[in-house]
Amino acid sequence: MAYYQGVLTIICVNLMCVMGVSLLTGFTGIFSFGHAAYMAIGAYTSAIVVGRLGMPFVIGLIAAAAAAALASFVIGYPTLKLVGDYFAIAALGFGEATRLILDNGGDITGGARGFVGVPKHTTLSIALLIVALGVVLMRNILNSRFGRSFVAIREDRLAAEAMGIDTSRFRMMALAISAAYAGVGGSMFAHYLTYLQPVMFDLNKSTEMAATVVFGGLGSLTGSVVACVLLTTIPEVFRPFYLWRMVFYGLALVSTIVLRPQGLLGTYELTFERLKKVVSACPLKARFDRRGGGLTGGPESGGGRSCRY
Amino acid sequence: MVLSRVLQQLMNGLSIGSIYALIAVGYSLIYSILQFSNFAHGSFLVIGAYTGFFISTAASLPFAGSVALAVLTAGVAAVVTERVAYRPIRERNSPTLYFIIASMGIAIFCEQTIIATIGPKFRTYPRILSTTSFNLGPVTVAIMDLWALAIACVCLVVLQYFISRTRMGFAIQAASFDLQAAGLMGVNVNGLIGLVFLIAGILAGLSGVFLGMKYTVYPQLGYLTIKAFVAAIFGGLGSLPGAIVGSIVLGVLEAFISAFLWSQMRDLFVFALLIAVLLVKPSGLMGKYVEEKV
Amino acid sequence: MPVLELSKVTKRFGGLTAVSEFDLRLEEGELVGLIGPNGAGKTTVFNLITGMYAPTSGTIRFLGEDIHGKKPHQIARRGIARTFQNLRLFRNLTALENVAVARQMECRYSFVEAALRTGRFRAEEKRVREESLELLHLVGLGGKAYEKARNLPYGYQRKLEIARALALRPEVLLLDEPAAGMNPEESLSLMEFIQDIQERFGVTIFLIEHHMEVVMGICSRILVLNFGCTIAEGTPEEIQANPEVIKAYLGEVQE
Repeated sequence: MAYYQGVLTIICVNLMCVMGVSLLTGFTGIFSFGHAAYMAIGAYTSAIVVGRLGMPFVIGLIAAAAAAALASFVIGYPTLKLVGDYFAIAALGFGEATRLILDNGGDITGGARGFVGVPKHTTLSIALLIVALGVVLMRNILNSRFGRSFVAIREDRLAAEAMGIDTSRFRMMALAISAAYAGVGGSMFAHYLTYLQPVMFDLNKSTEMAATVVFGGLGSLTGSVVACVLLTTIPEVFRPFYLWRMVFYGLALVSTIVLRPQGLLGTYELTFERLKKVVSACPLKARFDRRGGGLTGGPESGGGRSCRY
Repeated sequence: MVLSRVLQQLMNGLSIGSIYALIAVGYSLIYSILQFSNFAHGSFLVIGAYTGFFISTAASLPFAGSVALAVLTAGVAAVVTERVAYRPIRERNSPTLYFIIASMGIAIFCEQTIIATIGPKFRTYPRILSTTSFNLGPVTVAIMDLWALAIACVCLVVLQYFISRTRMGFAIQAASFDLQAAGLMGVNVNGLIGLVFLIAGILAGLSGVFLGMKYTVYPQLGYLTIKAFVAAIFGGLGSLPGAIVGSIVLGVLEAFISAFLWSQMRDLFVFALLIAVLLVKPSGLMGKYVEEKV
Repeated sequence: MPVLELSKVTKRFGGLTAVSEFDLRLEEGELVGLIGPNGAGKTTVFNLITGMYAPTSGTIRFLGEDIHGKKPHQIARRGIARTFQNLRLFRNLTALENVAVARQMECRYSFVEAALRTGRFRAEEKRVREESLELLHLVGLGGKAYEKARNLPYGYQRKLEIARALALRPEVLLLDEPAAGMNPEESLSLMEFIQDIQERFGVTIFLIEHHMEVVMGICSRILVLNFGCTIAEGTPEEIQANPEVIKAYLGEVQE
């Protein structure tokens, strides 16, 4: 039982990080191979704030998000103005640099040997709560002028600029939000595992996150969620797979983008409307009708809509 | 004797820089044609390194033969990669983003497959090229480094000749300006791209063999290509002379920092250089930065 | 006071002078055309006005304000909207979403309000949605509101781009070859469409076109550009008779 709880908790941790990457890459079109750095920053910040300074867990979470977002500002401000390829390379460089700095952090970070003694705070219910809030927040952001701006930037940055969108500012915003999510994920991770090592946040971790988003579908939050659940569960459930899981991530990345670039779900989103249809056969119909009525959703056109019109 | 130390590091830097140059040139070549960063370049390197290792330890070929085979294998791997992964993306006119994703996927797949099958243990090349060194004045030069430097120079000169004097070379130059136009002018684009990848793969495989001999062979050997990437960007993505210059300079700077400062700083320095270049002059020393047409 | 005024605007790219000493005065409500052979610098003029390029020298004044050096999104917000020569729609978004991206410019709700879905958020979102739908209906795309832009027929895509630009409620609308790729019948329909828009929305329109029947048919005034220089300016009749213009398009007439 504890094992399944553990798996579920890890799913929640990964979900937080993956949602961030989904926003950045899937919705805003910015590809980054160094996102694990923000998870690391969040994890270590929270570990220090809660473990060494004795602050409550909530403060740790907030500090993690803030630290990661701040780091993203520092790195993002000079590098986001670069065209696609260059930014991805810079992000990769930043990811590796962060790991190196943590490795050499001496007493502050515990160096390569690790940071032990992180207080355990992440129970399953807390993790689920945080993730649920995270999902709701992300959906709200995406279904607003902010989400529309992000997607416009992804589709055609020049045109978005011509339509009055300050693309530099919004790209920075997307990066900061996605970093904050990864930071929170990192904090959850730190207080679940109770020890940290820089190698946990290496290129493999960044790849894992990127592969999940690509596999689930660039531009679908639901896809990212589904892919995350699948790609976290399968290696856990099928232990022999575990050794090959990184092989699989690499393969997933290539084959998805070559064979089926839209991933599992394309831009399909599970909305309350669609949920309603599924549930309408249920006796719980009445409750859902009340809930769903407040949303201004569009009609069910074919294919997916990332902005709900 | 500071001067002797300086000269020594200069020599070291030159030696590692020439290996970087082999990698960076291939990488820059691919970038100039297809306008994307081939993150899978490290895989070609690793394939070359491992193939060379296995053939030279297992088979009774003369060493040169093993190297040739290893290098060829890497070249073939590159061509296959292009054919299987990049061509479909190119033909579908997908955004450049997809190339990056695919190349990264291949890099991870390759590295992890090696770890899962062959194992992460370090492998050492047989002592074919003597590890002895000789003294050139105050400087100690390893024979192997000299060979690497010599062969690298020869390769680069041959490549330069090929690009600037042969028909195929002209076609490559044309394609680096405008792939579509070159195709319309009758250039066999698919064949040309295949050739470019073959060349890049061969160069990467060669550098892999050298690195394998100089250090050891391990799955993460491909990570060294990141440094070559930085060198290529520093010298100017898309410019072959730039890649060479950038690599030499980077190699030398690395050697100096490693020796005179903190060796851990070496890698951080590389990343700092990357950020600095991207901020100050993204087109590098000799590169061309193409404006997007509105 | 002219709505848009360009004075001696010059743009050099290294050694190449794309636009040289370009002057323009657009009065409110005018429909002015810009023609010239390919490569004359017409789109460059648009890019200069919309802030994608900064002029090497000269001034650009919009509603009396100097907009030199402002970023494209700032200029768009001030009231200059454009369409693109090669269509730059948000292909994977629906027609409605395309228009909404522009229409949302006036939204004031903050990030926090969006996150919490407050009353102001809902009200403004509703308004954006309704106004966008209305605009689509006005241009005849009402039935296609939920289609993805990339699935629309070409003519509709062109109209959608114009609708999107109109959603910015601009003072000045720059149309870059709106009739490109259209047959004569479609061009005629587009002509009427543009005139209709001008009446209905009261925008000042500056138009680049190669389809002469469109330009001559609806523009009150035409500027002719060649190699970055204005070689003629006048009414359609004057332009058609101008020997310089004929020479630019057809080359020297052999005696």
